[in-house]
Amino acid sequence: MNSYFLRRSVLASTLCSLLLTSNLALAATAFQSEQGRQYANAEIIVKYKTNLSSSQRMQTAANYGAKAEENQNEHSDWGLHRLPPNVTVAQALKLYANDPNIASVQPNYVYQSTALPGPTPDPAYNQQWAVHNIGQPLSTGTSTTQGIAGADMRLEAAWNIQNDCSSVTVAVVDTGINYNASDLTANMWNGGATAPLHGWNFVGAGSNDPMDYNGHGTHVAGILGAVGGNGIGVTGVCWKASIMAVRVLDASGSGTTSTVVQGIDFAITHGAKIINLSLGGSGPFDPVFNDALNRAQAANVLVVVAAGNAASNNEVTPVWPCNFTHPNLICVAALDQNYNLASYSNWGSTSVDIAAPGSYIYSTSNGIEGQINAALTPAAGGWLGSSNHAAGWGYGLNGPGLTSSAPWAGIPYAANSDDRIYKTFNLSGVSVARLTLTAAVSVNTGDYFNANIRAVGGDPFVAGAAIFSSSNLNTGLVSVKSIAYDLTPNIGPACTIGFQLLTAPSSTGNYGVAMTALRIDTLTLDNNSYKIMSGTSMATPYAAGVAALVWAHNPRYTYTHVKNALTKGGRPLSVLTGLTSSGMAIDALGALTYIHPTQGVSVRVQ
Amino acid sequence: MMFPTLKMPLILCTALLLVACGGGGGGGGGTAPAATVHQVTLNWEENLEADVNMPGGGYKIAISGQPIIDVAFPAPPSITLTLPSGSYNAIVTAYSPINPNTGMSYLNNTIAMASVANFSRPSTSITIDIP
Repeated sequence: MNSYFLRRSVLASTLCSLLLTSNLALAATAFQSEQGRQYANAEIIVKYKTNLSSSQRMQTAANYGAKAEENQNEHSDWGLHRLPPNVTVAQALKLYANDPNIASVQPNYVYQSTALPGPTPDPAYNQQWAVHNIGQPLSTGTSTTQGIAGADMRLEAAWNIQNDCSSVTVAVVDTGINYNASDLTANMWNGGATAPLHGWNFVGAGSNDPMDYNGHGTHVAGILGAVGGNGIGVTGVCWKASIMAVRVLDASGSGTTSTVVQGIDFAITHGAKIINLSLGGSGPFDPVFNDALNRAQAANVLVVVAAGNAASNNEVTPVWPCNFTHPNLICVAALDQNYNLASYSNWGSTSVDIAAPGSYIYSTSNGIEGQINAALTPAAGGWLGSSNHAAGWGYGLNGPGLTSSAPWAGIPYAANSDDRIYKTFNLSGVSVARLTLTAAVSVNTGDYFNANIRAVGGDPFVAGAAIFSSSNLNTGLVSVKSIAYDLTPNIGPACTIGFQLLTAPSSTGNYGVAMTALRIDTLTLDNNSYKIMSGTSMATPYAAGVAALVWAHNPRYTYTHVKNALTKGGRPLSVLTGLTSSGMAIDALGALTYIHPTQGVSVRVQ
Repeated sequence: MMFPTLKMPLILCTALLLVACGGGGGGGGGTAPAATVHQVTLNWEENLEADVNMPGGGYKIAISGQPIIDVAFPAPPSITLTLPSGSYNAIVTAYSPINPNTGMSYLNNTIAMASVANFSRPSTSITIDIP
């Protein structure tokens, strides 16, 4: 018998006796894990070079202090060796490697009835590295990355314990949600007659329709609760969920204290137990926002928020709501596919609690995005001049773009002119359209540069609405103006956009206007779209989803217990030390198997 | 990349061993007076984890110098025992049947067996003084 093993065996026997004395053999570790692959810690698989007899196999094992298990298939050329106590698999692999009777040796890998979403696999499941990181490459079309196998949230094993969060309503307070998305619709919150469209819209005049015209909220919702195992798209952290759609950010992704706080209050009063806030802003302390989180705390609501994407320290530059200090708040940083802090992620040794996957996250989209870049050549670009077109718009010879007095620069525009040019765009079927104009402008006081829109075609300065109008934009100097405008109310087959240079009778003229870019970004709502996004906004719903799993599994928990399970049951990452308060990455299995230390132990002696 | 796994049960094991083996048992040398025996009741707050409050779950009670006591579900969170004079330390540790490496219950998985049960960190140690 190998002397190394003998020594170890004696020690191991002693340890074993102690464990048995204390009746704690249950505490032994059964499996080891390396690079995401588990194997039995006291066993190896041996492949023999020749067809050894049973007794020869036994002797081979005995040479190492191990025991050969009988293989059920007597003709098999491999066998299982049980190692002596306290001898590691790694040590055994090295020693067996030189045995003349053994062709190869390997760990006895663990294969589980892993809870993959069923009954029908979700086709994009393998793109979800945060769920199951196998080092898969992910591409946005412009860049491709891949990470380290095993660097994930151990969700597959966690799903053996819990995959249904439908008893815990999670409010996604965001840009709204495309609640008709085929991968989400079954998991939307049932708001009954009060909220028939699964939530509320607090943007603008408000309504009962929280449809997402940006895409951010729908992406967040998919991470949290895309239906698992429906054969469509992706799998959410929660296979079954109750997702409340609360729209507080507009189509451009912006909101205010007023909209956000109204959304939080709606979530609280309508029974949400977790609020996902993948949003943030810097600046001074916001007392009204702070009060809303107090109300959430009083209602035993957990609030999960994003750390921010400025690659900065929140201890130095606070980001709200991350920097609020409520005990019911969890602030989440983002990890990349290598389980490093993502390059863009904020951090904070006290303000940021934990990290979760946030880069290259594939999830539900609210629709198909498009872009129209208008050619800025008058004739070839389909631009039309008005009947009283005078000095004329043309293509700038000395500068790019559509110019009010061609060629741009060097020839001042004329006095008492009304120069117009316009173009019609077919936006049929589009759900959202946003116009972005960039122009170089030099217009005197008393002269005007106008941009108008008309939904039904024709000269937009005859009957249309103003996009932009200004005088005295920059006397004698050229400035660059960037104009954003929501075209959505004018969507149709003949959406017409026009520009006008209107000059005074006494004008001395100036350079005028040169349009250098005209872009229309479109979104066509669609129920079967997916896309990759990155940010702490994506990390947040991973944390919120795991919180929902934990709470659904342990319904007697308070927000304190759920937060503890996430932070204390997380996976320690050295790269997070000093960057988050816990130094942990979200670990779904660790959170679900975390057991709080028993409290309130007391004794009575009679 | 290698991540730490399952360190907690070993920590727990050590903690329970220390409590189970150290201290207690009735004092120092010399001629011991006749030991008196008292009935002791230990209570604790029930853990809120669903997996502790299910078959295969429960609590381990470690009292210095005494065998570990298993209070398996569905027993209430209390034990009564007799102890001779002396000073003892006691801790309570909750456990569940869920393997923290796989998420599988050992009750439903003959491969995983009982060696993979999941333990909490021990409670705060409490002192029991028996006159």
